[in-house]
Amino acid sequence: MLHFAKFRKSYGSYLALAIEDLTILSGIYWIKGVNGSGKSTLLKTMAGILYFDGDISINKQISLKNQAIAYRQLVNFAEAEPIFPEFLTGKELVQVFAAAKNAPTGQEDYYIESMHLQPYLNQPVSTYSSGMLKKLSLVLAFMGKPRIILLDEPLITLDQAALNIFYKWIAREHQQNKTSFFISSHQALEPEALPTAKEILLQAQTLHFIS
Amino acid sequence: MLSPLSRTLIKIFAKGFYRVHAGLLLALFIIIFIYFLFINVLEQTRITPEERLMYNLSLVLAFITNPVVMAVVFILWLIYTVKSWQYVAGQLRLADQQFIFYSSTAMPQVHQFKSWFLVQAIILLPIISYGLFSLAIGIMFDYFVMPVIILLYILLLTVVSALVYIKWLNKLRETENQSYLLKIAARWRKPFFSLFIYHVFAKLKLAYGLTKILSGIAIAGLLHFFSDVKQDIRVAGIIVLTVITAHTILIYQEHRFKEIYMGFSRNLPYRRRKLLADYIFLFILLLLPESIWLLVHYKVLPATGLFLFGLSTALLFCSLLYWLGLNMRKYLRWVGGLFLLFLLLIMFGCLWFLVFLNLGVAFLLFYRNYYAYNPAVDT
Repeated sequence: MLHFAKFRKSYGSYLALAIEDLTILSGIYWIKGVNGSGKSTLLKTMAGILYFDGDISINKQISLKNQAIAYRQLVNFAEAEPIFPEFLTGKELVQVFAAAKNAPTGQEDYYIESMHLQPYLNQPVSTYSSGMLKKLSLVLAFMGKPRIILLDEPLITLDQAALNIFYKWIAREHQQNKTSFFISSHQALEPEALPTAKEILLQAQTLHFIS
Repeated sequence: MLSPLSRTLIKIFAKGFYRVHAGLLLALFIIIFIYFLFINVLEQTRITPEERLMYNLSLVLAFITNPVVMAVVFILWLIYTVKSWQYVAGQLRLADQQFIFYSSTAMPQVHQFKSWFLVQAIILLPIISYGLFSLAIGIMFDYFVMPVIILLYILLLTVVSALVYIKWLNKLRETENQSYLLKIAARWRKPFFSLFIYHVFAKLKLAYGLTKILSGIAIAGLLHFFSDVKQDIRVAGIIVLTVITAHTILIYQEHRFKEIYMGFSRNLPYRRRKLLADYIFLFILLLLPESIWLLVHYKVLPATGLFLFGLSTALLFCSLLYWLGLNMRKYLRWVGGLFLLFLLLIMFGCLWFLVFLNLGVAFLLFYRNYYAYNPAVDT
């Protein structure tokens, strides 16, 4: 499904990641790795935010570099520490993402209601706590009809109730739309909530499949 | 021996201040230096070298003898000081500087005062140097009262600044009140291209105001300077070029806004031509006052051409940042170089050619670099 071809990401002369030729099948993946192993870098390059050499494509057909728009319609991303323009309200940010990602009308309602974001939605994000901001960034990552959702440290700052809801979102989205997830986290994902999740270890500047 | 707090604060605030304002301060310094040392007074053949030195020092002498000149200089120094407050306040709002609130405030306020006093003294170094220079001149020419007032005024500025910083740091923070315009616009739909305009009203009101003042001064000053040939299209071209160059900081801030607050936007499936069209809309809005002036001052056709020249130059300055990244020094060097080059090309009658050249280069730079975001380290 997701194909890496001659992928290399460097910071100056330092080679951070190299993946020669690899296809990752559809599924839910937990990306593990020590600090500085390149988890955020991997997700940001997959999201089309950071430059890299080589290419990443979906089914070897939709290339990040050659079909930039089509690729970005199918790949969504949530940052580890989301930063948004402080003057925008949660609702306005949802509108920006919904318009950009071509989301069906009212798609956000389910996510907003289940995460109990409704009372805060008309407030500027400058008033949000870090947990609220995280919840909002996760809602934004589900907007549109993504085939792949990349989540960088989604578990941090979420309380237990929010974590349970979040796991339900992933399971639902994967079951209903076969959406793949790449989730970087230092914490283990709940095996009961996501029993099919596989593990990828980032080590020695490349990917290693554990299970 | 500097305390660890002083060292840290100097590194963050004083050095940071000079990093951001280096270009402007250097330009001012060069102007003053040239004025004092190299300006030729009229009919200099009739005057002795000593008299020439006196003429050249007349501004300093006026400063220490004439209360009106001194008042004007004092107001300028006050503006400089307020500008430094604005810089420090802006830095204190950044996430990286939040540790200062829960570390330095545990110290006795006297210690905090000493550190901030030092920081402000370094920020005011250009003013202090000028003050000391006037003091030396005052002593040479037997004027003592005014130089003492000058030194006391500088001391006052430094002390008040340090106290202001301490007050900001030690008071319990309230939630920031939203800008009035943002409250009005709360119900408006905010299209992607317009977000920077709202950011201007939320965070950059002063920068916007100063840019427009600078732009107005450029228009009035250049029209006055070229009053005998003001209908010459080349003069209009130079004015528009200067006006766009005055917007450099706003253009830089736009890019900074995109990189810092809108980091997610490269993941949004927007075509590059749409993003470029967004920039055109944005500049049309930002340059609205100048466009009105163009329409009032020139006939429709030249006014449109001049506006297109301004727009293409703004687009070029904006696209440059996608190539250079958020490197202010490099960026200002490029803008300065292009300003001089365009000035020459306009003088040689290449104004309309520049419209196409700028648009073409802007498009190429943007198209090639938009997805090539490659910072030295992952932010």
